Amino acid sequence: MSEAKIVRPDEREDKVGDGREAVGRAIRLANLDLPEADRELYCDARPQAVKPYNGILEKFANWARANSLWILGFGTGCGAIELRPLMTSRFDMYRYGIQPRPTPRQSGVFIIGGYASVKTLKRIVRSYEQMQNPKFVLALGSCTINGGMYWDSYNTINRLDHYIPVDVYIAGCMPRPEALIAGFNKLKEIIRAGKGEGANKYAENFDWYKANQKKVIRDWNMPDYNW
Amino acid sequence: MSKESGLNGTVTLEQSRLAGTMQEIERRFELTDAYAQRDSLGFVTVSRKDAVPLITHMRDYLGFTHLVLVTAVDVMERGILRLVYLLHNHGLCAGIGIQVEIPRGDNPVTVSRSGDADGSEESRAGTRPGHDGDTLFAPGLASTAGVSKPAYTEMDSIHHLWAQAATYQREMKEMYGVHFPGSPRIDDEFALEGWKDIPPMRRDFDTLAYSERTFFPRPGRETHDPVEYMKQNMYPDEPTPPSA
Repeated sequence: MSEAKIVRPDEREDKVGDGREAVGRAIRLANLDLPEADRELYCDARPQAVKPYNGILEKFANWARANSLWILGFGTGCGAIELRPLMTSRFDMYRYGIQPRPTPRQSGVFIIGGYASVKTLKRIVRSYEQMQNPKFVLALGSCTINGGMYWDSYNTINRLDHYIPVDVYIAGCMPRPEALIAGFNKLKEIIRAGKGEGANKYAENFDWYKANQKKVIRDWNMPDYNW
Repeated sequence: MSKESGLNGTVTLEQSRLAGTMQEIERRFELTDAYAQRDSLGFVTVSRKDAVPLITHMRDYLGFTHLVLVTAVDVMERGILRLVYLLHNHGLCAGIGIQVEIPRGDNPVTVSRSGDADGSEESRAGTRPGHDGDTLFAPGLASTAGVSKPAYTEMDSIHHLWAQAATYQREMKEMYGVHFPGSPRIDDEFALEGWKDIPPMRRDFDTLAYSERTFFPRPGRETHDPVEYMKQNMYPDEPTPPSA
């Protein structure tokens, strides 16, 4: 085992390779030292809006998407506790075609489980961007709507839809698994109607979302977009 | 020394099981205040000069080997921060809280910052109203600009007595703005990332105002006076009842 080296504050590099100042600790972009050919494996190009297929093809795709919702297993707040009964035998979300996946790259639905601190929001943004199109967001609990009981906290955001697009809000503190299932059914309706356009909305209003994110995430040390 | 005497705060230090310890302490150190909260918990107040010697003596000679916690209380009205070191003696099954009052140090000291941390306008938006954005309130600020959080005041570190004290001290630097020179990783962020405002646990930090100017409050959050609201909705024509 190699010995972990603690970098003292005065030994840190203050500049990362692309000229940005590192804040807090020296963090380098993941693709910085890679040879040119491999750099594109870590893309930080802007997202592009995707046009729908023609007519019946898109309808078929939406039907298929609605019946295979893979959620990202990332419990971002206290509401994540509601995902356990949802998975297990009593509420059994698998009968609705919903199952959890371990990485954002395999997931299509992101459940924000309640309050999101600024620190978590950074990880939420990163995970959301790594998810593949089309992607949907279920915002769970009143904290994601207007801050809930943390509405005056210095460290939790008030409304999630200023940072990532939200398809369905599920009100409550906490909403029970039944409410979550109702939210999933609502999401399915939205997808079947072809209105689950969160990813495109994010791409089209990318600058607005980025400005909002950077307003609260003060030590921005990640690519502007990555997938 | 009866166990029941600890109820309702009626116990004195002489009656408590800390009596022997207190005699030892009082012989060697100048205590400005001492009282028993209950049979098994007492509090003493010492000056900053005596604090670390007292803690060391209690750990090494009096058997208070367990550091339960270190925390701070902001007594804004008196212009002090009260640090509390809670020690526990497993032999006596009793603890003593050592309180140290240090100045809050809210007079800002202007230091030139070598480079703005992220260069954005928002980095200044969070500074205290009435103060220039480039003013760091930092007597003990380390040389790495943009890394340290503002530290208003200073206290001696006890990380050499208990290694885990360094974690408490990191937290207190971030949350209360108390600098502990020499404490390991004291300049690292603890829970917050990229915090630029005054330390959030200081009582002059207005968390609601900060939230409102930072986090896009959703319009529509309002509260109603129940009497007014019911009258308006159910019997608007009735005369207003005289207030009690």
